[in-house]
Amino acid sequence: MYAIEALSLAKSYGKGEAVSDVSLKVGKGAVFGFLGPNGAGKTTTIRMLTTLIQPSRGDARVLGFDLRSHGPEIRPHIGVVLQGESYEYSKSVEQALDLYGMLWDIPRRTREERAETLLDEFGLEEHRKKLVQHLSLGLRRRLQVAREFIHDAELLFLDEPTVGLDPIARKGTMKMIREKVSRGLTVFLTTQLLDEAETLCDRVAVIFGGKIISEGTPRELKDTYGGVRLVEVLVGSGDPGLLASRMLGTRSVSGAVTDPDGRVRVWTSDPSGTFSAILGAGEDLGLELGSVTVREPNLEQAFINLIQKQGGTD
Amino acid sequence: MNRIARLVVRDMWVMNRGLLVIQFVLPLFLLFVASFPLSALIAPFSVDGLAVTYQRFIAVGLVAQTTMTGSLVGGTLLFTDRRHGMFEQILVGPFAKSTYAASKIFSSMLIGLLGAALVALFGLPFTYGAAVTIPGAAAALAAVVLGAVVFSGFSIILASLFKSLEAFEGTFNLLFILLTFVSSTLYPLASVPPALRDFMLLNPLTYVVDLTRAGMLGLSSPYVWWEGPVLAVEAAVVFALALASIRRISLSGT
Ligand SMILES: Nc1ncnc2c1ncn2[C@@H]1O[C@H](COP(=O)(O)OP(=O)(O)OP(=O)(O)O)[C@@H](O)[C@H]1O
Ligand SMILES: [Mg+2]
Repeated sequence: MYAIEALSLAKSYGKGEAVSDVSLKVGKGAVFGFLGPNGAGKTTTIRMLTTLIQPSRGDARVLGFDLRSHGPEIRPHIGVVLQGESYEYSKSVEQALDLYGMLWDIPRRTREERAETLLDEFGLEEHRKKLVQHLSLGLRRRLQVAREFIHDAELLFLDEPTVGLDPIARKGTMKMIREKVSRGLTVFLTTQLLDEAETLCDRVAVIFGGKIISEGTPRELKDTYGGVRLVEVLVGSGDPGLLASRMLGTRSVSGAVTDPDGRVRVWTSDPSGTFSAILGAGEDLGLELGSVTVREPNLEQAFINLIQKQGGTD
Repeated sequence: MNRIARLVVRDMWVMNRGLLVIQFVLPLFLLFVASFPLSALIAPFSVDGLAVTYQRFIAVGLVAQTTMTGSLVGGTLLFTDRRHGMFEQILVGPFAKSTYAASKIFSSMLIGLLGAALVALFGLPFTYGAAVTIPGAAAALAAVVLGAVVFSGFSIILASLFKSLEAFEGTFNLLFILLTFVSSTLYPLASVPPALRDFMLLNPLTYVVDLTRAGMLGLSSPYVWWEGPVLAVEAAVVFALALASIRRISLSGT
């Protein structure tokens, strides 16, 4: 059984469509990244999947329950960090955590223990007595994310959880998520930080204009849309400039330069072809090649290429 | 713990304590300060053949009035939940909208009734000597509870309509004054000009006050006979409307 199974979900507002076609499957225990430019429909999809709003069309099962008819069965098993803020204005950090645990009916002892761990993990220890209304934006976001770990969700929805978090807090959050995932949690995450998605997600889907335009492992996306790759050659002995100018005349190579440290960098759309061409040229030119490395494109580059292909801007 | 109870407990923790204190200022001031000079001015008068002192008269009226104020404060709970995102957060948690709505009405009622109980405690000495019967006290209690339903529901409907805190608080303060002074809390219906009396008879607080006085002091008026049933119907209608008004709050924002 999948944690989430959506079939052609759509949501329209008046004449406009916020989401027009979202089908996806999220396996249990996986971290699923839901990527897309601003206004693509990520939040609207999350609001549908968390039962806040009813889809206009399409269906979905969440944790095996029908989304349209079984909201009350779904909600007790999910945790949700919405994109917008939510907080107990008049309470202190520790009181707010405790109240949230109480709402989830977590026994007092348990929620006190968990609160201690969370205050520590999310760097809120020194702010625990402060009123939530007096926290900085990032600290409030930390609390909002931390809070969701006080109950035992099977499936956690995170709508850009790390916006406004400093790098240390972001790392802590990632660590927390990974730890919970290793114990069976499923995560559905949106983020604009693609290095975050790349390291954390087992699978990602890209939504654009309300439709899913690509889905796969980060690796697959990079392979398909990574575009031009960089090949780096360390020349042990001989003139690296010779190699660079030879490579410039080769098919599928769009650029080649020699660095002052003797490294040659070659950009190609056909990494394996260029790889053999470099070896051949090295032999021809009598160069001794130290190493030839094909650099991985990153997910961010793949994402940008993919969106640009759709006619989106950047 | 039951879901509604959990939400009510939370409300009690997060509610604005300042507002809560303020609701006691007027009744306690009237009771302990203003009622003395006023009683010197206003000779004991008779209502329906029963003599009553002004102090005793308003002591009971203020218990009912505090129910109203307290219950009206309840609406701010919904307002702040919406303002700070907790409304949505709770609704993606293990709570249905109807559970949430019911809890807000109960929280408001609880605030109103606890306030009334406190004022009753202070007001008790002033009623010393009144012959209270068990059916009378039960009728008074029923009136206060129904009043709590009406005003809780009313404040929730109001809170669901407003977007800006300033507008909500302004309306709230205006209503509080209007409902208090255009009611029989501070003066008997028989003593006011007919035009004003007609307005007072549109105010549910008048029913609650009259019924409480009838129950506690045996003070009757030509109106109490229909005030009870009307209050009950109003309570049912407002309760249903309050539930519906929370249900129709849109969750489609991003
Ligand atoms: N309640 C609404 N009424 C009208 N249009 C809406 C509503 N909610 C969302 N939209 C529109 O639907 C589209 C998708 O919005 P959504 O918030 O889902 O995007 P998103 O991918 O989460 O964007 P972001 O990265 O900025 O958070 C946008 O064009 C938005 O303007
Ligand atoms: Mg969004």
